Amino acid sequence: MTLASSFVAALVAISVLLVVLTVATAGRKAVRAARDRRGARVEAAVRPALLGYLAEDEPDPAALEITSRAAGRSLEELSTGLLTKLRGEDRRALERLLAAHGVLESARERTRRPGAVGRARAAELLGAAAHEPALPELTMLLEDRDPDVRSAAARALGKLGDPAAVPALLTALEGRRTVPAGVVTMGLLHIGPTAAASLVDGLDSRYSPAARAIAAELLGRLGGFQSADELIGALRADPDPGVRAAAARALGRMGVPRAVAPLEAALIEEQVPAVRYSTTWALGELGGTRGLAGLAAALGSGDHALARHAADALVACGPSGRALLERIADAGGPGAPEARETLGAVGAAR
Amino acid sequence: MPRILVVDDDADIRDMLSFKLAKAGYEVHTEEDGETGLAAARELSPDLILLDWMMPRLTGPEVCRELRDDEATARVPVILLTAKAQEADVQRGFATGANDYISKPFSPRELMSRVQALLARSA
Repeated sequence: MTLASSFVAALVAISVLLVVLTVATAGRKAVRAARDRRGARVEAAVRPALLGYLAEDEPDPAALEITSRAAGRSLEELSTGLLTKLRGEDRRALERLLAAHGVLESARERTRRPGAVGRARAAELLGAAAHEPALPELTMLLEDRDPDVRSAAARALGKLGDPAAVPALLTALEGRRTVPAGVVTMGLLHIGPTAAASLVDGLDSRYSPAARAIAAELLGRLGGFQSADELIGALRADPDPGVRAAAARALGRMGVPRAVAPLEAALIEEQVPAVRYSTTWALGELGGTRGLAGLAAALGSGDHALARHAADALVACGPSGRALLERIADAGGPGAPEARETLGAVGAAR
Repeated sequence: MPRILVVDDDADIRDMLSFKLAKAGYEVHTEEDGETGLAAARELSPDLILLDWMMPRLTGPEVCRELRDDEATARVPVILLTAKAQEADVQRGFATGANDYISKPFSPRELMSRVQALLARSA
């Protein structure tokens, strides 16, 4: 074969390949468009039926007919959106409808199938419906190979509101297949105050430092006084400074009076600046006269950054803290420059 | 037949309320943003307005303030419907002249009761 004929043959092959690719692309587009049109037609039929069902005073799930798989999918998609917008009897009516048509059971089965999008959507629906029997499937999905599925499962577990999910959510922060800390935190917050007992357990050293820090932080928001002893223990003895700082902030946020002495002790003994700053903040949050001695000592410590944090905390303590700050500023000794700086900033902000 | 105007950029909520209100015997008109909602309120003279807070063009409180500044619409009862549920938000909502406040996620049944009560009071 000559060079010219080889060139022609290559040109022909490339042209044929181009034509095949063009036809295949057009075919795929046509198939997708047809599928979208079919989906829109099905939704146009299911949507008014679903809204009509919800408009009834005593809706009967059997009255809404779902005659095809496509209609079932449409019902699932529409319901996932509606569930997040409803509460009360109308929401329960929608949950009954999904249960009666097997949509929730089908979603549980889909959590084990190939196709990450399907698994994520199934998790989303099970969470939106707060379908408690799905706890094992959603917990399993926290270790899914797809990161989006893992995040969807963490969000769904939060919406379930079952504290049994707390250990798995905290464990999802470590290992090879993790869930982002923000997603885990929101999931735990969604569970609410019932998560507190399991979060106390989350301070245990078998969990990672990231998990222990999140557990401590959330106990400050959800825990109440019953977790104060464990948080004081974490402030004193946890080997990770992030956990100690989170425990200090939690104690301040909770306003636990018996935390004053351990917080003041931490101000003296703690070596890590970030923990000391969190400790001053916590003493400020506790307010009143309880932490004034510790804060005054921190203000006069000679550490400029710590003194600034202590001065801010004294302002947060209220009138007694502010009066002390003014006395220190007037006295002109250690901490006076920082006290004057903070008082000036507070005055300017007014 | 009392006429109710629903202004919300969420199609699910608009449609759900339309079905529920129509089933209860109200004449329902819907709009999907604050600007068209305000225009509809001036044109249709509704007996009550259900108004979402966060909307494109004009927010619910902005619409509410405009309604209260206009003699023709100043006395139309308004229920604000919003995901903002903090105490300060509720106060801000009432400060714009809203008559009632429903936080999302919401119970359509509770909303229907409030609609009936507000219409009865303003009759």
